[in-house]
Amino acid sequence: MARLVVMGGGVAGHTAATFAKKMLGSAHEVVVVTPNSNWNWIPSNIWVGVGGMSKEEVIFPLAPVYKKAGIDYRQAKAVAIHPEGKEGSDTPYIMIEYTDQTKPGQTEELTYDYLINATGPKLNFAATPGLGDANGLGEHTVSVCTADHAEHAAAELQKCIEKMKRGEKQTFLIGTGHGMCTCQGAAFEYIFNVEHTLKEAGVRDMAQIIFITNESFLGDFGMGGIHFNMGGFAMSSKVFAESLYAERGMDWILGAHVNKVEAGKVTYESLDGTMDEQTFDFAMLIPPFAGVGFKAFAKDGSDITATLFAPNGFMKVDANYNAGAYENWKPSDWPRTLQNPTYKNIFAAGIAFAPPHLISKPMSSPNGTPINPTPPRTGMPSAMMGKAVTMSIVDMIKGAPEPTHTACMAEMGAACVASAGKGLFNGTAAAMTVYPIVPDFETYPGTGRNLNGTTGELGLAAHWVKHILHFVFIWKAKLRPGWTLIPE
Amino acid sequence: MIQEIICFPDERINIASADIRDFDETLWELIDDLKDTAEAHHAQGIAAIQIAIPRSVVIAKTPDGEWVECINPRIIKTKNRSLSPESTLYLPDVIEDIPRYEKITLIYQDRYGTQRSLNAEGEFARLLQRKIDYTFGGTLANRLDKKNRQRVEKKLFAQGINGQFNATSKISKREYFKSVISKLLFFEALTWLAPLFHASQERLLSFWHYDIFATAASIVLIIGYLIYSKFEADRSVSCTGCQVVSFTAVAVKYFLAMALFCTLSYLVVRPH
Repeated sequence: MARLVVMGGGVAGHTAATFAKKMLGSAHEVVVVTPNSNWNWIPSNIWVGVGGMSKEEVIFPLAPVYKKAGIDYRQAKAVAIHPEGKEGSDTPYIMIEYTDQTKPGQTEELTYDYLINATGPKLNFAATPGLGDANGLGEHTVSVCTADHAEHAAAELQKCIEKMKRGEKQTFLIGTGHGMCTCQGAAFEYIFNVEHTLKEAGVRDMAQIIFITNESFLGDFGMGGIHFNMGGFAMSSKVFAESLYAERGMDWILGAHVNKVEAGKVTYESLDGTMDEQTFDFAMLIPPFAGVGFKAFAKDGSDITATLFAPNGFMKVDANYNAGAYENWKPSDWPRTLQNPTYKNIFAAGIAFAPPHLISKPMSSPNGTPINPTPPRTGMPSAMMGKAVTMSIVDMIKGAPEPTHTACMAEMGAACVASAGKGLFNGTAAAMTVYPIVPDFETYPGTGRNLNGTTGELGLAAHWVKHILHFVFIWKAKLRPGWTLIPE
Repeated sequence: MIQEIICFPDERINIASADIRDFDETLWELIDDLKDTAEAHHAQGIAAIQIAIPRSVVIAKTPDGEWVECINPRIIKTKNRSLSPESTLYLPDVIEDIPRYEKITLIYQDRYGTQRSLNAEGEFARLLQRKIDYTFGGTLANRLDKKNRQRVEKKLFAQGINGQFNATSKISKREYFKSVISKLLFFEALTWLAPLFHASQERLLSFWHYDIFATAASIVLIIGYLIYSKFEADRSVSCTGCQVVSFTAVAVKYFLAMALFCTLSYLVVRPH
């Protein structure tokens, strides 16, 4: 009997664990280690953040789902990996520390035959002074990265609405809180939802809404922009995004590295090297992501963290980390099997793997500060990776010498649905798909994208899509009947 | 060398320009061609896509008459939006009021790849904005509202130039399914007017037959749309989830419309 341990119960981890159990059955063991007691459908946090949905609608407890599926669930956080075992034993193991109510702080050695690292990101609020610290979110801003954060954001937003109803003008600053953030799409979506909410509350004219981002142009999304067909018209994501902002009277600040947050004020460095300030009454700034910060130890107890992890804390996989300068980047730099090159029974999926380099054009200010979006690898790509890794491991358990399945971001499309409003008829949304995520300049000269696989849909239908997705994916994650038929 | 400038309705203008990655002779030759072409046309600036090269290169004349070469340019700061008349070589003889920023800050790379920034205002700033729009696949027409865009199209048509802004031949074939369903339903809706004109029972009966046909054909087309869309989504490796939900939502929308139309036809048109 083999034991597969999955660290993390997010989109990638949950997908990996549930498929593994389904494919392996009771002959083998699947263990999930995650510090969270709930599963969260993160894309819907946007709606929680404006008060359109309650926190309970976007989360559900993991324990009953895993119990039903026959998955061994440990509410604990993994702290260290011992891929070579310890003195007297060759069996690799991870060190876990329980976070549940019954045995908090208790540690345990958990052995594994195969390990999937799907721990997602550490929300690195500490990277920007004032944005937060090692304990998380700071006092001056809000976030929508977790369901709790989103609930807090909605309460703060409500306070601002009350103030505006009393005649006080308010400034809303929404965007990225650091020069190396990813997930601009979430901020993009949130700003439209805030604008929509203020309009519904009848206070739009009292508000100035500003987008602040590390992108060098609106609509970069960490993917170097998207160019798509929309209703038969060619449209660039820059032209598209600028017109959406302009129509709604929202301003934007580009190429900004927020380097300090104080009460009611951010300081930022621009791509041209200048320093500026922006005041705010309400700020939702997304933190940069880092790896969760595991340690790894060899058999003799020496620290081998650098062998397993890149300096940013993400796990090294079968990517080309020596691709060099921008002009040398190739799609083949991107990992395919997501297997660790040193320890062949360790895999990473979702945000947890270390990307070889950026997708957007790298940029920095004349002072040397890098200001560019880092590659997005959330949502659908995460789930695809989780599934591919699982299928490889299942085959390896059954005797395959090498990973049998791949999930390469240079061969994968991504879809994003940005929606504003929550009603049946008063919402609008832009659904975009882009193929491939990592531009392939060899196959598709020029922009590196296949225009036929890149489409956009704007309007009510796209808005419904986002709603349907919410229910469909929660249905799938709860392993309700037919869950395997629902695509990633 | 002087190159040919592409003009409306050439659709290549909508291609998004790729960022330059290699700063070598190929780039320098392109810059020389751009300068020659701009000089020959007495233009103050030109983007590479205007000579059908989809690369992010813009050259523009500063107020002092010097050429500035902007590779991979991005506008990162803007100030004061205002309307002012503009024209461009892509749209001969068209002068339109376009909203632009009066002051901008630009970052770009020079011909050796060194990052630089520049502040521009007035006419020079407007020129740069217009050219940078081209590198992102946008023309002056994208800055106009729909009404004005159609007016310009009509004006050009009157000059014998027939075309559409942003039209693309790369339209997904599943759009055709939607288009045919919409037309069927449109004609079905027209039959509802028949009772207003006291149409005879026979005429109503033939209309009702059309309505039955339109409903049946719509059902077939919606199923066809679903099958074709799935086929199309499967062609793009692993691009599935949202696409499936997206076209399912579109299909549901058409199905609801079809059901509503059929009900109304049954009540209004069917001879009793």
